[in-house]
Amino acid sequence: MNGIALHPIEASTVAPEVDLMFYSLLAFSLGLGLVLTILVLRFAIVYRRGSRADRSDPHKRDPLLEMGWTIGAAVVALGLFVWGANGYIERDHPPEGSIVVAGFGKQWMWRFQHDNGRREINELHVPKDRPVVVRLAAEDVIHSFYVPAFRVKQDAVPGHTTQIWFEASRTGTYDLFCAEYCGTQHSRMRGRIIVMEPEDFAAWLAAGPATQSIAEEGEALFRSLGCSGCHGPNSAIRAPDLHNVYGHPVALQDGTVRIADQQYIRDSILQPERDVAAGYEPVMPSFADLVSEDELMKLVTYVKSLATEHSP
Amino acid sequence: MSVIASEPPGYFAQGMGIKAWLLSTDHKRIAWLYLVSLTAFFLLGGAAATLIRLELATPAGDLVSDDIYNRLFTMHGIVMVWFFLIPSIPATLGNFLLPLMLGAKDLAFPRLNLASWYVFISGSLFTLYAVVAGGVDTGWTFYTPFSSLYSNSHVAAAAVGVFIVGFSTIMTGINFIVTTHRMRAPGQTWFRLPIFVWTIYTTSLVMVLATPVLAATLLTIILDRVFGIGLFDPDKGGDPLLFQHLFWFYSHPAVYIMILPGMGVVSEIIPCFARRPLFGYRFVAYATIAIGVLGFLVWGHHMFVSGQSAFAGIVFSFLTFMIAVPSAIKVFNWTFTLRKGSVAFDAPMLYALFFLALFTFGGLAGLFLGQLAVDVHLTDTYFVVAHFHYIMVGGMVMAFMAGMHFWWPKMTGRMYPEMWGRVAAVTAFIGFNLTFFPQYVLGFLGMPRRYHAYPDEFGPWHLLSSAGAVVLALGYLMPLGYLTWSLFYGRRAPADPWHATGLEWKTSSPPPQHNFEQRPEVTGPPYDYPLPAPSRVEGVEP
Amino acid sequence: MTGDVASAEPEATGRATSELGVFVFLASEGLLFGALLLVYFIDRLQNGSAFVAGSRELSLLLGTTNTAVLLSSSFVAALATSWGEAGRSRPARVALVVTAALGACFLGIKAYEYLDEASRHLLPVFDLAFAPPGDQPQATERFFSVYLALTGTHALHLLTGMVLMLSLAAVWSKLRRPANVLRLAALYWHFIDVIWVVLFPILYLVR
Repeated sequence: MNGIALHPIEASTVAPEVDLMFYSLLAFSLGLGLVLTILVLRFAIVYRRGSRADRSDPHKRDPLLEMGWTIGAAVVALGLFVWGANGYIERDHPPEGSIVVAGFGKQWMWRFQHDNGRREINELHVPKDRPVVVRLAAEDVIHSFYVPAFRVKQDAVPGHTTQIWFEASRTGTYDLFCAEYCGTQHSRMRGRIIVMEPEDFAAWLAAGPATQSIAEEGEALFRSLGCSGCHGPNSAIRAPDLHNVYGHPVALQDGTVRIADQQYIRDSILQPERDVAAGYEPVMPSFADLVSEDELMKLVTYVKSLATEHSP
Repeated sequence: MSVIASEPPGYFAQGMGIKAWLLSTDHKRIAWLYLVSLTAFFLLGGAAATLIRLELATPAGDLVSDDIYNRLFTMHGIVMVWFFLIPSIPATLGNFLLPLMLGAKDLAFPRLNLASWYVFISGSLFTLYAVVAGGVDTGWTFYTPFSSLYSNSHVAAAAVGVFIVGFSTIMTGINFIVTTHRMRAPGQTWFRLPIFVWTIYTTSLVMVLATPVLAATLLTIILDRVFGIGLFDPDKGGDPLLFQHLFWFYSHPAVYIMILPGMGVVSEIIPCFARRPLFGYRFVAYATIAIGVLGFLVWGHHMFVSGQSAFAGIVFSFLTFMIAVPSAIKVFNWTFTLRKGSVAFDAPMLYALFFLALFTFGGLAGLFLGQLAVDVHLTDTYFVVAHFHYIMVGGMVMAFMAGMHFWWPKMTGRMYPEMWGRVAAVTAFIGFNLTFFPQYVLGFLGMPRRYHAYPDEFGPWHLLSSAGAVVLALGYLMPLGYLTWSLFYGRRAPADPWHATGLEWKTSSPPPQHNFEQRPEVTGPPYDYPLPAPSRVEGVEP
Repeated sequence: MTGDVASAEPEATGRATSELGVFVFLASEGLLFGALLLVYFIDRLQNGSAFVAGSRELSLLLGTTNTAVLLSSSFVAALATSWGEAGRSRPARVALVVTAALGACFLGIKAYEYLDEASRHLLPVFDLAFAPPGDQPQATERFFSVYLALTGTHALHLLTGMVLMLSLAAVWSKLRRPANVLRLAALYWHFIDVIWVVLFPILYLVR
């Protein structure tokens, strides 16, 4: 890593694609810049004051030229837009079978928790060649999860759950930055992403202190907070059964339908009266003051696991 | 030093005492009030920038503490955006020239104009208080919930300051809009207006319609910090993203408040020094309006990774590319104005050509940021910092300098020293590129914004950038020196030193208090430049 | 911008110029409220039932009274305008004072409403105890936050309008064309009234 860097390391599957776009844009920009520079210099030299250049054709308008570059610019702009939008849509659709990690940003550190409960601070171990989804929450202000080598970035916003996914393509250690200004030690809110061979990762994960998985912790909370009293299979109060809810459409009281995604589960815990499922009484109290971001993430993960464990 | 007897005395003859300056409703004097205050703010913001670049010369955060650093870049942003860039060309050159270009004797509301300066100053006092009392550390963007709940700095005072300055901006905007509508010279139809007037008019519309949204946004922060009403507090069910939407609904149009007047200045200068009518005048006028309108529709491109929906991201990306089109049209038109011309390279023209280059490179970088997949990598990095400095500093400040040199003879009745002007222009251009081009590279490498200390691998580029800043500072300090010198010792300027078209050149330099001895009439299109040109632009020898 | 048009313009032109200025200013003001209203509508879409619950806690009686007070003040302001144009200075000045007095009456009732709501722990301000009715305290708190921001901003405008009306009445005889200034001030007053006419249904009547 000596010398002056000109190009960031490519260590994820999307990185080459992003770089291809970047360099294409660069070539286009330099090309256009060059053409303009040559034109300006040529005009400036040929038509410098006092030169003997031919200056006939005075005051003639050239609507063709105007229309030409207007349409040309529009077509180029449209092309660039379509190309970039394609890559962006993929961001929202992590591949099936991704590893899921919970990530929390707080002033001024990153905390991560793996599926089996293993926790890390300012470090995140991930396997190579497996898609990884990091579900992001912020406990105080806005932070942003940024790994330049992967060309990915996503803000963690208080009050929202966001997610980011990547598939590392090279083993090694890469910078993790907080990219959204978050206060005094913003520039110290840095960490490392450690990409390992899948088997090394499995060993590393298993070597962690034996704790409950996130979903198991969520289940425990589900009982201790009393959720199971109503949402359980044998409860007296009618509340929707949460098996197979996650990821499926839910009919709401006002006649609309919403897909039960992370944000929906989250909102239903914090503001239960907002989107009540059709056919149920709005009797659930808000848990806004009772659960932390951390616990919310666990509950959401648990509800999510209820959908997967019974599906084929 | 003999005064030419036949010339009318000019507006300076109304008195040079404190009262004659501070209580005059003459738009030309108010322009000077603004010019002096803006220069002071530019130096203040520049001082903060100097410390920032010094700190970033080495990777370790060793020169100032992180809290101080955060306050420095926040002050740099707030001062440069609201106390320099937004008022820059409109409040100084616009104030001075708009009535002259319309053949009017003043703006529509002269007292409102003076009041706007006092409002500006009182707003700036709040902000200065915030700085002196210990500073603000939220960044100029005031993102919630950091600004509303977590910051321990003087956010409310700074927000009140910016809020008040917003009123001054709105007052100026109203004044310019009404003046353009109601006070044009006989025969001066809309399509006989100089492009500078078009841009000032469009800018004013944006000022009047966008600034109140900023005011509402800042108000919510003030309500939150002072009264505890947490509109964007997630714990009270508020949404920090909504704050960003409101903030950028103002702040993206604000970018066009900053750049459009610069485009206006350049559209005056290039035809004059090329002795050619502006190529495609109507296209440039329409492009100005198009930029003003589209500017209101692209705010979401600041939020591609904030968690807004992918659909919103795609719509905003599309609109962002659409706004690139009118900007490109302008660049091509300026370039082709040179063709078949008779091009001279006096300092205003050099500045204008450098504007063209830097604006183009800043604008092209905007394509990278508008393209969604690439933006995900580049947003919130130094690439963005380089991009908007190319537009704001490379574009706007260059245009401001171009305009100051071009109209200096009109404003002061003195010529600036031409050689110094050219040297300063070239110095600023070189210094600017040395400072900010490395920041494009840094951004691509992944260097995040607003970092007080950074990993070693970014070191060389930061060092180069800091070194370039020294050259840039020199390029900005030189004009301060020689322009001040020329106020007292410069050659006397004739009424029309550049043989330019435009009504402002039809009166003496400096103009009399009522601008024109006789109301001028307009009988033809603007930029009616004759060919061939005089071989040398003459000044009046002392 | 009162009568501030560069002098020696014909009077009609000068008046049209100032009026254009005021309308541009009001467009700007409209966007200020527009931004706050946007916050309201987004929150309302997200928390429909809680907003209804919050609205029920407001006093419909006081709100309606205030609407009536403000509408009458606008009527008086219109009277003042026409008396001013007719050159009847005395009644015009009296009408101005009455307009401002009605404004003060509005603010008094509003202040009483705030106090009443604060005593019922409904105002999420200054760390006051906040204990809203209903089972969605968080969303109901949003309603009251937005309610405070909207009515507070409106009250500030009304206060500005009152100062404007009273000072106009005070310096009436010193102005060259007071009737013109009055027209402009009345435009502003009507604007404040219109804003309230928008706020009243969305805050008080959505129950």
